[in-house]
Amino acid sequence: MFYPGCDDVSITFLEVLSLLAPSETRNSMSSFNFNAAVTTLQELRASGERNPELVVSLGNKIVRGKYTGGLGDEVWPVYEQIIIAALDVGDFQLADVRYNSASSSPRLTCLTALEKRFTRSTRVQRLLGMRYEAEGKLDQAAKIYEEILDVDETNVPAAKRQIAILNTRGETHEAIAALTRYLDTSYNDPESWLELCSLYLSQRMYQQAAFCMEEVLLLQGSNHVWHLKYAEILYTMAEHKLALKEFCRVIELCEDHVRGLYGVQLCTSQLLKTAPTVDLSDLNALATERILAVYSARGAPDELKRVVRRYLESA
Amino acid sequence: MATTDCEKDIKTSVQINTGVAWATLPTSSSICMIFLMRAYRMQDIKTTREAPPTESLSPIIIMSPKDANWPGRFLCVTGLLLLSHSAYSTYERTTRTDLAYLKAVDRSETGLPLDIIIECLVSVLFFMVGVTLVAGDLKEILMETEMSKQTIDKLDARPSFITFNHRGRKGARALKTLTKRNL
Repeated sequence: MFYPGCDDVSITFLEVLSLLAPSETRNSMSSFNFNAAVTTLQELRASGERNPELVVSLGNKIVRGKYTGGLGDEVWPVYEQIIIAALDVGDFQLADVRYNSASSSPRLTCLTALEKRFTRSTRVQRLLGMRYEAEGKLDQAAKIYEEILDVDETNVPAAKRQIAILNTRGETHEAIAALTRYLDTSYNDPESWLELCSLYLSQRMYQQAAFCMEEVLLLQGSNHVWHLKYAEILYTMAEHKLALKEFCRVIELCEDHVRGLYGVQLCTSQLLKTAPTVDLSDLNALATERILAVYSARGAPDELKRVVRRYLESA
Repeated sequence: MATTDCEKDIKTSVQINTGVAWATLPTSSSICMIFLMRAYRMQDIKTTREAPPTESLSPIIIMSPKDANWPGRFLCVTGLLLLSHSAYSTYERTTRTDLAYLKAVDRSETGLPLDIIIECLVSVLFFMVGVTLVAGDLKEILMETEMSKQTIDKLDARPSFITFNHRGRKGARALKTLTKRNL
């Protein structure tokens, strides 16, 4: 959806509409389901998924429609979530939305409401820093994060935002160095290993990216998605044997995973060219059969199946 | 000697009954309070990711309390009332039975009366139904079914490292311009 690093590309009307069309239809605006909105926001917060248009559309309704009273103590993480999503979409008005408190005190903004509730909190400072980042004032943001780290050296979010600033500036090598230094101390952080992996992939350093994925697999070994990523990196490095093992692990963890099946099929085809064995050809046939079965089960038209079969035979 | 044995029997049974009554009351009320509090949404505030998840699997498990669980709450409250009433009744009954009279007539403690036992069991039934209504939907026990629903977008999002210099940042302003021009 978002392509970080692309700067000031002219936006077409269709792109904007697709970016900002909320997932609910226009009719639902009249019957705003508050509880469903709160549940959606909770799920998005738990998973960490980046879906700012949805959060902004729900947040607009909640904050502007004065539904914030119904949230109780949950207001604060919701505010944080709305602020970050608004910064992502570029809606600075929502990030600074006027918040009428019940006791009709002077109108506060979202951010200052948080500041008032949690005085001298590094988390609110981080939000302020992110706001500067979104406006483009990277030096001011960097100063804020340095202040946080002066007070508390082990503050993880501030360190991560410093790396994000390096990413924003486009200084990938410095970002890699900083992230490596950070990971030297906190090595059980899968999110940072994944970030380092994506940085290496952007520089096409596949060996190092594979190492990062191995570290992630040490931490979260039963997640088929990490095995899939590792397998695809290995396939790109032309390590077909190990890639085949990892693709098989993907299918083992998640039955009939189509991407994993394609991986098995391609790996076995490559390996059959050099050292054909009965096992490999059996695996190849099995993968082909399962792919076609999955396509049939999901109701694919015959034309599509013919195309897939031809592709698999030629691969 | 028979009388002292009788006395001992009475004493122990009375002690057991009162002990049971006083033991069930706080435990049951605390359990009910916990469920009622969850029903009234005084749950832990779900925070955004400060530290990354350290579990080996990262499933998304969310309790989704039903919105209209008034029957469940009502049943839990009535169950609590019945339980506390039966517990108090055993206490009342044991203090009101004249132990001296029983000793004189050479009759042993007859045990809990049937109606109190029935009241206690009925409260258990109320609790069973009430708690099932108040609790959320169950999730599948196999990790695989939960994991197959996870998308790469959800897992590989890395929210602590997001940058804002992407082309979507002009989105809000562009939409405002478009709506102003009535397009």
